[in-house]
Amino acid sequence: MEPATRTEEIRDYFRRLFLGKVRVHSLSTPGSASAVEIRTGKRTIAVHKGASAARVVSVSLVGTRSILCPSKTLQMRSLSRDAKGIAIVPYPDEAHGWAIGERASGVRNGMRIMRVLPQERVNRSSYVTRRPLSGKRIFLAFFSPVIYEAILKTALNRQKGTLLIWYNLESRAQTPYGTFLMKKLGEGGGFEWEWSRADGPNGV
Amino acid sequence: MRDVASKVLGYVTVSGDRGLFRGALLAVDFRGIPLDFRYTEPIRPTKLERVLYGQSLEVYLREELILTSLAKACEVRPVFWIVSDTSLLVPLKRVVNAKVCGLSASTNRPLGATGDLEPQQEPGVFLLQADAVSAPLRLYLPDLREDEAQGVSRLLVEAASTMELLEPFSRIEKALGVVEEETDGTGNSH
Repeated sequence: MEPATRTEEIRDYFRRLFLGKVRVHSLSTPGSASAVEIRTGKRTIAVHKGASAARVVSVSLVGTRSILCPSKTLQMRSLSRDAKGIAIVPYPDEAHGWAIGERASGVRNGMRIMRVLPQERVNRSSYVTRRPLSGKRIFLAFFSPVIYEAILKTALNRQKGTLLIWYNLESRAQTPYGTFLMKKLGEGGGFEWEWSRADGPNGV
Repeated sequence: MRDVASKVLGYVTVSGDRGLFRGALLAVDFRGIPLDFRYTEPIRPTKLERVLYGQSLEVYLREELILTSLAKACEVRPVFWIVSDTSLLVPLKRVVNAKVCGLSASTNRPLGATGDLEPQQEPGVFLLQADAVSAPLRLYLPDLREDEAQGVSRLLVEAASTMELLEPFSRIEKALGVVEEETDGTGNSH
């Protein structure tokens, strides 16, 4: 069967579903759309007459490969005790056609942006057990792991208390370090960084 | 000497905030240095599509369309894939045909030693002490035997010695923010 014919069938289905209520517009099926498997909504249904009218609650039509109708049983309400519904027999053949309203997801390469973004290290001072000797300094923060030999530039984000690191993307260095941020006391003051190997015997 | 630069981790996010679906993939080496970054153009389903397909639409967009497109576009092959949204684990595993895990922060006290893996009550969930100076990470490894989980934890511990394991997720957010600023929110440049 031609794809156009199948699309027409689906269109007919919706026309019946919304008959008199809404105007159903057909959705375009782009030529580049990939083939998908469609479970049709066709069902063979037999309903025994009961005291009150049987109401079909819903039959759903799903148009993707991974989503199958979870229930193969027709649910009925307002039936008397002797009224019976019978199990719906799933339509045996799987139709292959085009997903209604199939979308294409364009994927962009964002390496231009990602290359210039820094990595960020949070302050891990609360987990440090071995702090540097303070002397006339106050221990403020500890950031790890940092590949010291690969650093192009660092910046302290004072608002968030994080360390921003720009690496040389071509560097092959791979030895991890930790760095303590110390504040110098006394005249002049200022900050001081103290680096130590994170993987060495004296690592933090 | 181990070569951390040749091992690759893949980070994947898919968001569907306010009816706008977008996904991104960042592949980094074990130092966190980016090797590939892909993102999808934002997809906003029409009201008609949302009514017609209901929740199935979201599943289709997230799993079939965005994840598959991202995985196909990635030019490097990560040894391991990491997501923060655990609902992506099963579909991602199907798409990439490789090991995947869910990883998130925890507020638990540090475990005894680096590499410690502590099973939690929820099946497939562990606390992993990835390094000596942080809280343990919450690791989600569905359908893995304990020895396989141990293998995964060794890999993550190795990576955590030279990078911060959760940091690439925030870098993805920042990059998508830049993309958003550079475009009109639809993927088109100003």
